[in-house]
Amino acid sequence: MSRTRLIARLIASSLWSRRLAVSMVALAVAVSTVLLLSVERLRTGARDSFAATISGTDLIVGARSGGVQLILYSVFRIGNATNNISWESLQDVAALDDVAWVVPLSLGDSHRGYRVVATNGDYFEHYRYGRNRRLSFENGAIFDDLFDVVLGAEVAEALGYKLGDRIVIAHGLGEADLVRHDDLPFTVSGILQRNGTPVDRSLHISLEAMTAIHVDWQSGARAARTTPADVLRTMEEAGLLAPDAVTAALVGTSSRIAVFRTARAINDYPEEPLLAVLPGIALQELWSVIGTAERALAAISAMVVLTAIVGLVATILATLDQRRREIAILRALGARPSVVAGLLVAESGTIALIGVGLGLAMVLGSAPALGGWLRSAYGLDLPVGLSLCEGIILGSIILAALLAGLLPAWRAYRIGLADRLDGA
Amino acid sequence: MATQPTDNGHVALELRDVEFRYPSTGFALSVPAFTLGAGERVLLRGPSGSGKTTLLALAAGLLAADRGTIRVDDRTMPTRLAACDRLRAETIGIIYQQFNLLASLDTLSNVLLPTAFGRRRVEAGTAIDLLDQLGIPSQLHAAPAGRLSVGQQQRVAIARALIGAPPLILADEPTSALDPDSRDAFLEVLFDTVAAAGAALLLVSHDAAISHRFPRVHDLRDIARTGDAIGLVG
Repeated sequence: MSRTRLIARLIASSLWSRRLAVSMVALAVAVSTVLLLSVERLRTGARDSFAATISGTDLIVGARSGGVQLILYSVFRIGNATNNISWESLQDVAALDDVAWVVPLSLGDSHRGYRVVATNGDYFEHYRYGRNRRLSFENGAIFDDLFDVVLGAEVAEALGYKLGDRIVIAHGLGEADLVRHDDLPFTVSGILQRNGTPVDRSLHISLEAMTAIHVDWQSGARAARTTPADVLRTMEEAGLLAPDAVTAALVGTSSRIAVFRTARAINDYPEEPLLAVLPGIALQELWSVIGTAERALAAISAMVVLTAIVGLVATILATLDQRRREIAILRALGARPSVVAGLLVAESGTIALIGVGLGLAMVLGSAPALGGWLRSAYGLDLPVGLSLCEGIILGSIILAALLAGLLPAWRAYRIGLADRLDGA
Repeated sequence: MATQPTDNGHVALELRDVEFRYPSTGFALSVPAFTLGAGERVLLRGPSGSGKTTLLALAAGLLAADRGTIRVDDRTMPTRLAACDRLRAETIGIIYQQFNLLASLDTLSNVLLPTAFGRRRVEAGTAIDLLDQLGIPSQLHAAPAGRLSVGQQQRVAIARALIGAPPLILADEPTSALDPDSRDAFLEVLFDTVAAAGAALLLVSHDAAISHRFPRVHDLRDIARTGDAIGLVG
């Protein structure tokens, strides 16, 4: 029998003789591995999903302000634009050589705390999220009539709306809906599938509808007269409801290399101060701000792993006194102190290996079931296999356990030769 | 003094001017000269607590002598305890009163364990043959040693001491807990297997009843001075 096999049997039998304590420690390591891997996977998934809140869009264009602010209000529906961009300027942007498509966005109204996004049919064609996923409908279709509205999944679910329901949009933002366009109700024409992006929390109407509900408004206040809906429909058919300005626009270019050239052209647009940002860069900038929580979470997970490893060492140390005789026997049989110390380190590593293996199996085993739910509920795409980073994390846990095993190993090293054998 | 010339001049164990004192208790042992020839079988008698085990521990390199020279298989035992491991692993098999098997480790691995630490490597078949020779049923080879009967554990302890054919076997009161029949049976097996292996045997015991089984018998007092009050050179 080879020396390695004998030593392996020795370690296995020693662990087996303390199987209850070893199982508990291995389980603690497994649970902390699950926690650490889960946090890492959720962190990666959240970051990727965050970065993929919008994909396939090359530039976001708005009035000149900050890039983060632009992406906050245009994509995440958080905050307000400092200014609009004129419709003419947007037409000029659309006319640039490298611009393939432009999706205008007009924000400012709301419904029971949810933002209303006025756009056109191209929005449903070009808006992509995740790994180039298109928006798809759970029920119904995009707006056909002037006063049709398409709901995000969360809006429909939270407010209990279904196709054909009539809803009233409020002027401005806020939960209270203090000033309502109740003379011009909208009909739910479509409900989008849940995708985990801010689209879930948005209501979508046409640009013309946004203009229509403000036809009778002047300087932010409703005028005394009310233009009937049918008249407004006629005005739409006549092309009289084109907006004067929009809040922002999503822009696609004809090629990736044209993105920077187009951005420069827009940023240098002489007629109006405009800002074009690359979504990826702005999202990265935004993530660096909100990523602190993610780092704190990772730190907590690391502390949990550390606790498990301390538990591992404590368990080995606690049993060391009972094992003095076993160690003395090994020494009497010719095992050098370094060999005995090595055995203790190997035991520690073996327990960690079992725990990490168990934890990994739990994470990978539950991934198919959890992955689908996280994708539909939160738009999180969890990685399928094991990433290099996760491999490094798991290797680090085992390495930490090996290093921690040096403490009991050092104590075992010092156990005397004749200790606890037949004495005197 | 109790030294014995060997037939072929080859020395299995030699202690010369060895002195040792336990720092904690002050108990001391002094052995001017003791030699065990290759293949010899010697009984070292003495009452409990007289220092027999201490002498055995010195011979095995489990204790470091304060003075003197210890040679095993014509190799000098290092004075530094940590350096004795290899020599002990390669040349000495020890049988303890309590056998000191690893209870959770299977029987066959218990026997082979010394080969993991430096004793001459042997095939598992050699250990199986040895266990067969000692009457351990093959179905017990994979069983944890702790599940064996006392008699079986004794024989496994013999097999472990003999594996890899060390030239010196040290046995520390291996029969003290046995009834006369079991004791005689154990000694029979021990002598046969040690003789077959060509090893020398130094067995220490307080049991005078086994003296007649040994060609050479010493009382510890014949070869050593022991006690708290003896004066040592060092």
